[in-house]
Amino acid sequence: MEKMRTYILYGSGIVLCIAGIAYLAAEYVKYLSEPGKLICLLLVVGMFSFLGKYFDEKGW
Amino acid sequence: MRRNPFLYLALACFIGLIAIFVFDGYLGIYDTISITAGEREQTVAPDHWYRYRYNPSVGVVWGEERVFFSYEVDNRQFSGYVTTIQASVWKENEKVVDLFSEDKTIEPFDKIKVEWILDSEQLQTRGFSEGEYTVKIERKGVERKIIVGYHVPAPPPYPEKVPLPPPER
Repeated sequence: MEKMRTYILYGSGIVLCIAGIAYLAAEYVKYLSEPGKLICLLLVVGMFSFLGKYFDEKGW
Repeated sequence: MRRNPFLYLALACFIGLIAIFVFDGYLGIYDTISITAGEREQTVAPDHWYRYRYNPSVGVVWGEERVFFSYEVDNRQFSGYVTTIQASVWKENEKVVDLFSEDKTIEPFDKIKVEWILDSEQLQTRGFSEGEYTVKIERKGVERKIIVGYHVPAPPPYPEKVPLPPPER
Protein backbone atom coordinates (compact mmCIF):
# COMPACT_ATOMS: atom_id res chain seq x y z
CA MET A 1 0.00 0.00 0.00
CA GLU A 2 2.87 2.33 0.97
CA LYS A 3 4.66 1.48 -2.28
CA MET A 4 1.52 2.15 -4.30
CA ARG A 5 1.13 5.60 -2.74
CA THR A 6 4.76 6.44 -3.57
CA TYR A 7 4.28 5.34 -7.18
CA ILE A 8 1.13 7.50 -7.52
CA LEU A 9 2.94 10.52 -6.04
CA TYR A 10 6.00 10.07 -8.27
CA GLY A 11 3.77 9.41 -11.29
CA SER A 12 1.67 12.55 -10.79
CA GLY A 13 4.83 14.61 -10.13
CA ILE A 14 6.40 13.40 -13.38
CA VAL A 15 3.18 14.04 -15.34
CA LEU A 16 2.92 17.59 -13.94
CA CYS A 17 6.59 18.26 -14.76
CA ILE A 18 6.16 17.07 -18.34
CA ALA A 19 2.93 19.09 -18.72
CA GLY A 20 4.67 22.23 -17.39
CA ILE A 21 7.65 21.83 -19.72
CA ALA A 22 5.33 21.15 -22.69
CA TYR A 23 3.31 24.29 -21.86
CA LEU A 24 6.44 26.47 -21.61
CA ALA A 25 7.85 25.00 -24.83
CA ALA A 26 4.54 25.66 -26.65
CA GLU A 27 4.58 29.28 -25.43
CA TYR A 28 8.14 29.77 -26.69
CA VAL A 29 7.51 28.02 -30.00
CA LYS A 30 4.63 30.42 -30.75
CA TYR A 31 7.10 33.27 -31.22
CA LEU A 32 9.71 31.32 -33.24
CA SER A 33 10.19 31.86 -36.96
CA GLU A 34 9.41 29.03 -39.40
CA PRO A 35 13.08 28.01 -39.97
CA GLY A 36 13.58 28.19 -36.18
CA LYS A 37 10.67 25.79 -35.65
CA LEU A 38 12.10 23.36 -38.23
CA ILE A 39 15.57 23.36 -36.63
CA CYS A 40 13.95 22.83 -33.21
CA LEU A 41 12.00 19.86 -34.54
CA LEU A 42 15.17 18.31 -35.97
CA LEU A 43 17.04 18.87 -32.72
CA VAL A 44 14.21 17.31 -30.67
CA VAL A 45 14.18 14.26 -32.96
CA GLY A 46 17.98 14.05 -32.69
CA MET A 47 17.89 14.41 -28.91
CA PHE A 48 15.37 11.62 -28.38
CA SER A 49 17.12 9.37 -30.91
CA PHE A 50 20.48 9.77 -29.15
CA LEU A 51 18.85 9.27 -25.75
CA GLY A 52 17.17 6.11 -27.04
CA LYS A 53 20.46 4.85 -28.41
CA TYR A 54 22.20 5.63 -25.09
CA PHE A 55 19.63 3.65 -23.08
CA ASP A 56 19.72 0.89 -25.68
CA GLU A 57 23.50 0.58 -25.19
CA LYS A 58 22.99 0.52 -21.44
CA GLY A 59 20.78 -2.51 -21.93
CA TRP A 60 17.47 -0.92 -20.77
CA MET B 1 33.13 11.07 -23.06
CA ARG B 2 34.20 7.92 -24.92
CA ARG B 3 31.91 5.69 -22.88
CA ASN B 4 28.71 7.69 -23.43
CA PRO B 5 28.92 9.41 -26.83
CA PHE B 6 25.15 9.24 -27.41
CA LEU B 7 24.39 10.85 -24.08
CA TYR B 8 26.65 13.78 -24.93
CA LEU B 9 25.12 14.07 -28.39
CA ALA B 10 21.65 14.21 -26.80
CA LEU B 11 22.93 16.90 -24.43
CA ALA B 12 24.36 18.84 -27.40
CA CYS B 13 20.94 18.70 -29.11
CA PHE B 14 19.29 20.03 -25.93
CA ILE B 15 21.79 22.91 -25.70
CA GLY B 16 21.14 23.58 -29.41
CA LEU B 17 17.41 23.81 -28.68
CA ILE B 18 17.93 26.38 -25.95
CA ALA B 19 20.33 28.31 -28.22
CA ILE B 20 17.70 28.39 -31.00
CA PHE B 21 15.09 29.76 -28.56
CA VAL B 22 17.43 32.58 -27.52
CA PHE B 23 18.91 33.34 -30.95
CA ASP B 24 15.65 33.13 -32.90
CA GLY B 25 13.91 35.29 -30.31
CA TYR B 26 16.58 37.96 -30.72
CA LEU B 27 16.58 38.05 -34.52
CA GLY B 28 13.87 39.92 -36.42
CA ILE B 29 12.48 43.41 -36.93
CA TYR B 30 11.29 45.08 -33.74
CA ASP B 31 9.47 48.38 -33.41
CA THR B 32 8.91 50.53 -30.35
CA ILE B 33 6.45 53.41 -30.19
CA SER B 34 6.81 56.23 -27.67
CA ILE B 35 3.90 58.60 -27.19
CA THR B 36 4.03 61.79 -25.16
CA ALA B 37 0.92 63.85 -24.47
CA GLY B 38 1.24 66.65 -21.96
CA GLU B 39 3.54 65.31 -19.27
CA ARG B 40 2.42 61.72 -19.75
CA GLU B 41 4.82 59.44 -21.56
CA GLN B 42 3.91 55.98 -22.76
CA THR B 43 6.03 53.35 -24.47
CA VAL B 44 4.59 50.50 -26.51
CA ALA B 45 7.16 47.70 -26.45
CA PRO B 46 7.58 45.36 -29.45
CA ASP B 47 6.03 42.40 -27.62
CA HIS B 48 2.78 44.29 -26.94
CA TRP B 49 1.43 43.19 -30.35
CA TYR B 50 2.11 39.51 -29.63
CA ARG B 51 0.82 39.51 -26.06
CA TYR B 52 -2.31 41.66 -26.20
CA ARG B 53 -5.17 42.02 -28.66
CA TYR B 54 -6.10 45.61 -27.84
CA ASN B 55 -4.62 48.73 -29.40
CA PRO B 56 -2.86 51.10 -27.01
CA SER B 57 -4.65 54.37 -26.34
CA VAL B 58 -3.76 57.84 -25.19
CA GLY B 59 -5.99 60.58 -23.80
CA VAL B 60 -5.39 64.17 -24.90
CA VAL B 61 -7.05 67.52 -24.12
CA TRP B 62 -8.63 68.92 -27.29
CA GLY B 63 -7.09 72.20 -28.44
CA GLU B 64 -4.55 72.31 -25.63
CA GLU B 65 -2.17 69.38 -25.92
CA ARG B 66 -0.13 68.01 -28.76
CA VAL B 67 0.85 64.34 -29.14
CA PHE B 68 4.51 63.61 -29.82
CA PHE B 69 5.16 60.28 -31.50
CA SER B 70 8.50 58.56 -31.75
CA TYR B 71 8.80 55.34 -33.76
CA GLU B 72 11.93 53.23 -33.53
CA VAL B 73 12.62 50.31 -35.86
CA ASP B 74 15.35 47.88 -34.84
CA ASN B 75 16.70 45.66 -37.63
CA ARG B 76 18.18 42.56 -35.99
CA GLN B 77 18.80 40.73 -39.26
CA PHE B 78 21.85 39.86 -41.31
CA SER B 79 20.47 41.80 -44.28
CA GLY B 80 19.41 45.42 -44.70
CA TYR B 81 15.78 46.42 -44.30
CA VAL B 82 14.20 48.82 -46.78
CA THR B 83 10.74 50.15 -46.01
CA THR B 84 8.46 53.13 -46.23
CA ILE B 85 7.29 54.32 -42.84
CA GLN B 86 3.91 56.00 -42.94
CA ALA B 87 1.75 57.50 -40.22
CA SER B 88 -1.76 58.80 -40.73
CA VAL B 89 -4.86 59.70 -38.73
CA TRP B 90 -8.12 57.82 -39.39
CA LYS B 91 -11.67 58.37 -38.25
CA GLU B 92 -14.38 55.77 -38.87
CA ASN B 93 -12.28 53.98 -41.47
CA GLU B 94 -11.58 57.14 -43.48
CA LYS B 95 -8.23 58.82 -43.69
CA VAL B 96 -8.23 62.27 -42.13
CA VAL B 97 -4.65 63.44 -42.51
CA ASP B 98 -1.16 62.12 -43.31
CA LEU B 99 1.30 62.77 -40.53
CA PHE B 100 4.51 61.25 -41.82
CA SER B 101 5.86 59.35 -44.80
CA GLU B 102 9.49 58.57 -45.54
CA ASP B 103 11.54 55.82 -47.22
CA LYS B 104 14.11 54.32 -44.89
CA THR B 105 16.98 51.88 -45.24
CA ILE B 106 18.18 50.24 -42.06
CA GLU B 107 21.56 48.54 -42.02
CA PRO B 108 21.88 45.04 -40.45
CA PHE B 109 21.82 45.21 -36.64
CA ASP B 110 21.11 48.91 -36.71
CA LYS B 111 18.09 50.97 -35.72
CA ILE B 112 16.42 54.19 -36.79
CA LYS B 113 14.04 56.55 -35.06
CA VAL B 114 11.50 58.84 -36.70
CA GLU B 115 9.29 61.41 -35.01
CA TRP B 116 6.15 63.37 -35.79
CA ILE B 117 3.59 65.48 -33.96
CA LEU B 118 -0.20 65.30 -33.98
CA ASP B 119 -1.84 68.62 -33.25
CA SER B 120 -5.60 68.96 -32.81
CA GLU B 121 -5.41 72.04 -35.07
CA GLN B 122 -4.71 69.69 -37.99
CA LEU B 123 -8.07 68.06 -37.30
CA GLN B 124 -9.91 71.28 -36.50
CA THR B 125 -8.98 72.80 -39.87
CA ARG B 126 -10.58 69.79 -41.57
CA GLY B 127 -13.80 70.24 -39.64
CA PHE B 128 -13.31 67.51 -37.05
CA SER B 129 -14.00 67.84 -33.36
CA GLU B 130 -13.11 65.96 -30.17
CA GLY B 131 -13.58 62.20 -30.04
CA GLU B 132 -11.53 59.12 -30.80
CA TYR B 133 -9.11 58.89 -33.71
CA THR B 134 -6.85 56.10 -34.89
CA VAL B 135 -3.23 56.77 -35.70
CA LYS B 136 -2.06 54.10 -38.14
CA ILE B 137 1.65 53.43 -38.42
CA GLU B 138 2.63 51.31 -41.39
CA ARG B 139 5.82 49.74 -42.62
CA LYS B 140 6.45 46.82 -44.99
CA GLY B 141 3.59 44.42 -44.23
CA VAL B 142 3.08 45.63 -40.66
CA GLU B 143 0.38 47.95 -39.36
CA ARG B 144 0.19 49.36 -35.82
CA LYS B 145 -2.78 51.26 -34.46
CA ILE B 146 -2.85 53.77 -31.62
CA ILE B 147 -6.15 55.19 -30.39
CA VAL B 148 -5.99 58.89 -29.59
CA GLY B 149 -8.95 60.07 -27.53
CA TYR B 150 -9.50 63.83 -27.56
CA HIS B 151 -11.67 65.27 -24.80
CA VAL B 152 -12.68 68.69 -23.61
CA PRO B 153 -12.06 69.13 -19.89
CA ALA B 154 -15.40 69.29 -18.06
CA PRO B 155 -16.14 72.56 -16.24
CA PRO B 156 -16.08 72.30 -12.44
CA PRO B 157 -19.47 71.25 -11.01
CA TYR B 158 -19.60 74.24 -8.66
CA PRO B 159 -19.16 77.98 -9.28
CA GLU B 160 -15.53 78.89 -9.11
CA LYS B 161 -16.17 81.98 -6.98
CA VAL B 162 -19.07 82.08 -4.58
CA PRO B 163 -19.97 85.66 -3.59
CA LEU B 164 -19.75 86.17 0.13
CA PRO B 165 -22.99 87.00 1.95
CA PRO B 166 -23.30 90.63 3.08
CA PRO B 167 -22.05 91.18 6.60
CA GLU B 168 -24.76 91.14 9.26
CA ARG B 169 -25.40 94.38 11.12
